[in-house]
Amino acid sequence: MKEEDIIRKITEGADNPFRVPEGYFSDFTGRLMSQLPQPKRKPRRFALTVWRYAAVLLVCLGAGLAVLLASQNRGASLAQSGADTETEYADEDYINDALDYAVISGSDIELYLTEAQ
Amino acid sequence: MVINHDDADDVLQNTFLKAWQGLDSFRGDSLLSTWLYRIAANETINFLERERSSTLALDDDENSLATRLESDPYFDGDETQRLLQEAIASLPARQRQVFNLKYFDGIKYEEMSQMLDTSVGALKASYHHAVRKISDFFRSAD
Repeated sequence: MKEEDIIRKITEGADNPFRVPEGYFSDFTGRLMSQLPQPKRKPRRFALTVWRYAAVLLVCLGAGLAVLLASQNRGASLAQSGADTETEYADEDYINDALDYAVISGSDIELYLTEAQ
Repeated sequence: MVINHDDADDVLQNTFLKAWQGLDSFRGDSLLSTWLYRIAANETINFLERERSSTLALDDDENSLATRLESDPYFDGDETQRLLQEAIASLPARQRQVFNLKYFDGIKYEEMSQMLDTSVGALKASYHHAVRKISDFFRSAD
């Protein structure tokens, strides 16, 4: 008789003598799920990225506003400056004096021409 | 493979945890059940090696397998089956694994070969050695 047959005859069938407790598998899933590692929290990184974008946007808006205000002030000062100049040129005494200094008489012109020849 | 129910529970839970963690490494080359069997087989071997090193000093009458099986509420076997379990427990881990899979679960060598990543020839040799040692165990018990 083969050795394996000896064992099989002794045990009269190879039924596993160990049994599973009643209801073991009914709560197995729950017990196993409670041991699974929790997924890592990625939303925190997402939130950080959003805050970074928001900060950059805020800085850009601030810079744009500053440039806009600066350009408006410059325009206003130029307009004011133009008004002063107009007033200055509009002064008749100043214009007459300037013309007096600038006018060249006919004799002066003849003198220049003669010297040039 | 594992005698105590609580130990079997630990091994089973560790098996599914490992499967969950290594799910990405499952390439689908074999059946999912074969892959799970392989993880379970490795977990069992690791457990038995840990247990052997930790209970080596406690191997007295109170901790003998026969005593533990007598008080185990989930063991329905008679005296002969207790003796068979003792004989199986005396085997090296790999032979014990092969014997249990073939004798109690009826797994074919080809399937077992995929589960344990071992050649069919090596499995047949392991089973043959296991059967011979168990026979010797029974003869010496008479």
